[in-house]
Order: sequence, then structure tokens, then C-alpha cells
Amino acid sequence: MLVLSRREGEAIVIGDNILLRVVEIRGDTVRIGIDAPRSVVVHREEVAEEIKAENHAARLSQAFDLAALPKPKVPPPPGAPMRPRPVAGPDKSADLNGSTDQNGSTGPPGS
Amino acid sequence: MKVSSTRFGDMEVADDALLHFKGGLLGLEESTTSLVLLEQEEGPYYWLQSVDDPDVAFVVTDPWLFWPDYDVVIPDEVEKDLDLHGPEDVEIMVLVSVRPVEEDEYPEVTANLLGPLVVNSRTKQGCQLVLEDTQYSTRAEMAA
Repeated sequence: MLVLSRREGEAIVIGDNILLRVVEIRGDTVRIGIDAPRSVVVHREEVAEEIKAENHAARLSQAFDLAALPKPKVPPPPGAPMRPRPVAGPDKSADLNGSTDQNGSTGPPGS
Repeated sequence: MKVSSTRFGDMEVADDALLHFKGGLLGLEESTTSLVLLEQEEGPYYWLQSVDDPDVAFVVTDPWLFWPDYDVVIPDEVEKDLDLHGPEDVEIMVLVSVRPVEEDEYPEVTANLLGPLVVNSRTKQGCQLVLEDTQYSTRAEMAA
């Protein structure tokens, strides 16, 4: 693996159109800014690995009988399924209204 | 069009049931760029069958049936990429995993709330989101 040293504010260019900049170093955390084309998928490594592992697990599920799976707490409403549905308020549907509020979540679901 | 499935045999499916996932799902890129959502008489679960690999199929469900407060923030770039113009364009489903446990026990059933699938219901283009800044789990337990 190529290893380069960079100071705060300095950057690394990868190919023609990817740039990584060390935005801030504080304690043991480095904040990195990434400029890349939309076609380049950027994820935190551990999150990407977790999603990968779960995709594999989902694909290997032996759920032949869908009827045996847990029933929803609320009955399916009429109309199209899998549409984001406002529950708490009219603007709680998928964030397509320009809102940048990322803290609207009510936290982790029942665990 | 014709789709072969290990689970369901050869099927004739309507063209508009075909979903296109550019790049596929993480870790399964090759077999998951074209998926068919199989209609079920009774929800809330659906099969998502790979067109390219008969052996690849997923169970998906509507997350709001189980987590009414589920909150998905669609990043701007995904909105542009999938050409989403409003909530009526958006369909979101989550992958369900069923893990076998000890015999005679009820299997562990979880949903991946961290990596939901978002589909443009007009164009049928979709992708898997990886939600940022949330506490959602890839293995949220679905109550029996």
C-alpha cells in the first residue's frame, strides 16, 4: 500500500478526478474531505463491510415460506406499499423537500 | 420477459417489474444489477429475484410496517442519480435475513435498516443506500 504523509489542509489526488483532503486533525481523529464523481461510491470501510456481509446473509436466507415471517404491528395500509409514509407529521416522509435535517430520526428501532 | 429462478422455476414477468440497480448491491455486484420484484398475494413480504443468477433471491419488506418512525434521508446525489422528483417517485424496501438457529426454534429474522433499497417507481432505477449518521442496524430484529 502506498503511504503518504499529509498535513492538515493538504490533499492527495487520485487519477483525474478524485481528491482527498485532510480537513482537520483533532486528537486521534482525522476528518477527510472527498471530491469524487458521483459514479464513485464512497463508504466508511467498516460500514461497507457490514452491508456486504448482511447482503450475503439476506441472499442465503432460507425463508421459503413468507407466511411464517413476523407479521407487521400495523396492517398494510391501502395503496402502494413501500412508499415513505409520514407518521409523526406531514414532512416526515423521505427527505425530498430540501431539508437538511439529519436528526429527525427517533433513534434505533426496537432492539 | 423470462426469468429463471432456483426457487420458483422459469417465470414470465412483466417488463415493469424489472428493477435496475446500477452497480448492483454491495458485495453482490455481478448478480444484482437487474432484479425482479415478485408480487405476492398477501404482503408484507416480497421476493426480489436476480435476473442474472437464478440462485440469488432476497426477501424484502416495507420498513414502515414494522418501524413506523423509520427515517430515510436520501442524499442529493442519489436524488439526482435516480431522477427522484418527489415522494411519489420513491419506493423503499429493506432486505430481510432469516438466520437458522437451533432446531425447533424460531429463526432469527432481521431487517437491514442501515442499507435500504430505494427505487424510482417511474423509471425503475434503484440503488442501495448506506444511511449516514444514524443508529440503524443492519440486523434490526423483527418481532415474532
